[in-house]
Amino acid sequence: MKWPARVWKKLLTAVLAGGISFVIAACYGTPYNYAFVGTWTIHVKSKTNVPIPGLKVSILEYVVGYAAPDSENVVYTDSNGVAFTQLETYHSGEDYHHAALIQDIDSLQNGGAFRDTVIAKNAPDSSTVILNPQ
Amino acid sequence: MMRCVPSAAAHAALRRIRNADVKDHQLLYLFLELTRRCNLSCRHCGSDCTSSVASEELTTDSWISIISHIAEAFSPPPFLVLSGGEPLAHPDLPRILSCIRGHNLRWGMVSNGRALDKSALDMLVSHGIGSITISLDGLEQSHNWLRNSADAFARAVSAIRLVAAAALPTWDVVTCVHPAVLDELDAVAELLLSLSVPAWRLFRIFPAGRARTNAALLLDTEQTRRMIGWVAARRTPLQRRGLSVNLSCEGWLPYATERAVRHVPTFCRAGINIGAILSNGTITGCTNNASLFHEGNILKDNFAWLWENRFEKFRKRHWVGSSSCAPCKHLKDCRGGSIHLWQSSMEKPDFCYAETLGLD
Repeated sequence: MKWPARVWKKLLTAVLAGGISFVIAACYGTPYNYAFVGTWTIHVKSKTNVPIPGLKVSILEYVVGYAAPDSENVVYTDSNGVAFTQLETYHSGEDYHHAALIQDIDSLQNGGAFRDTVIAKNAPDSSTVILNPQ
Repeated sequence: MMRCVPSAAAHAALRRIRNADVKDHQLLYLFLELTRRCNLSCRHCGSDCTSSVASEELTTDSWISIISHIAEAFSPPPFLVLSGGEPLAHPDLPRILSCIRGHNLRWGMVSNGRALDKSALDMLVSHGIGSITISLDGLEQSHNWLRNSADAFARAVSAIRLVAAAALPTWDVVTCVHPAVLDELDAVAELLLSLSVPAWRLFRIFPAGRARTNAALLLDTEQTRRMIGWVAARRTPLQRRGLSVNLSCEGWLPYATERAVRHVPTFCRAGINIGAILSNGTITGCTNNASLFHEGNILKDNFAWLWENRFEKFRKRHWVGSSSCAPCKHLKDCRGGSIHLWQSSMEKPDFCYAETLGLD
């Protein structure tokens, strides 16, 4: 299978950058996402309804037909347990979707040890997640 | 992940990406320098802008024709970046924005924030602004000194507050780092966090425009090293607090340093994915390019044709092999770096990070 240039370029960049945001901010210009497709705000709470800060949230983009995500962008939950990201894609006109892998990386500092959780992005652009303890 | 990528492999991969982008040369990003008129007279202005216009500028009707041409000639059309001067100082800005909106083009703006009050921002939002960059060059004293205005800082901060409240899809703050700002970077970062700024780009002032004749604005070797070291040390902790910090795309860096200071490996995309139409109609690859790299004029040339058939100096870079860079071991990766750093001649760049800092 011959991959389109935009796919292998994106994969190479993912390897080099360790995460992806295809933003051009030329010289004294303003940042532009190649294909801005929306935002996603993720609210993360414990079972006792307490917001969980300090979680690593990896935003993954999948293209239909490919098992592995072909982009990843990392954000973290703030003191209110909220992670916000802008979503962008190279795959305009193709079928793609986003998911988020939520990981507790700071042991007990944020109030507990929580299980890794994956959620899919569904409309609207906001999701609330309840994490289970490990 | 990036720590596992050997430098040689990384550079080879970047060359492959760049070569593919050169071959495609898809126009993704087009500067429209609407005017050189500006409501400030900054000491470092790379465009030598003032409150009045010294040379003849394109008319509003010309800009409307240009925008229509771009919308028809490029599919998908590029993102338009309105720059200056100060774009908000253009008297016909709403009419130009209505044209952009009418063609359903995506656009953004760079502003010093001075004229960006609530009504101006509402006007931009109503015309679909997708991205904005506000300049903030240090804490109050430093910013006002560089911007040559006693209330520049207050106005810029006010503009940042308004933009933060407007929840635009993309925006950031840029800082031209001059020697006085170096000791303030931590304090500026805290200020930006308190203002809910999502992203911050740091520039080293380069010797163009008024900065060319004011050496006090330029960072020396040690100061440049300090700036890069600061970005490398603070990027991750600030990112975790919600502020993405990046060194601007000013110059080529070896991969190990690049990874420490930039989010995504960068090369100069001027003339490859980025174009510019200056206020007098000049067509080039970026607003800060010297006349050596001017490709034509919109008043007599067809931009789409030029884009497809010219810009060889930006894309092929054969001339770098005849310059002072010829013996450099980084040449095949750097290929001369950022075009805007070749202000004086095509024989020697005005600044080189790798050479100046002795980076391997």
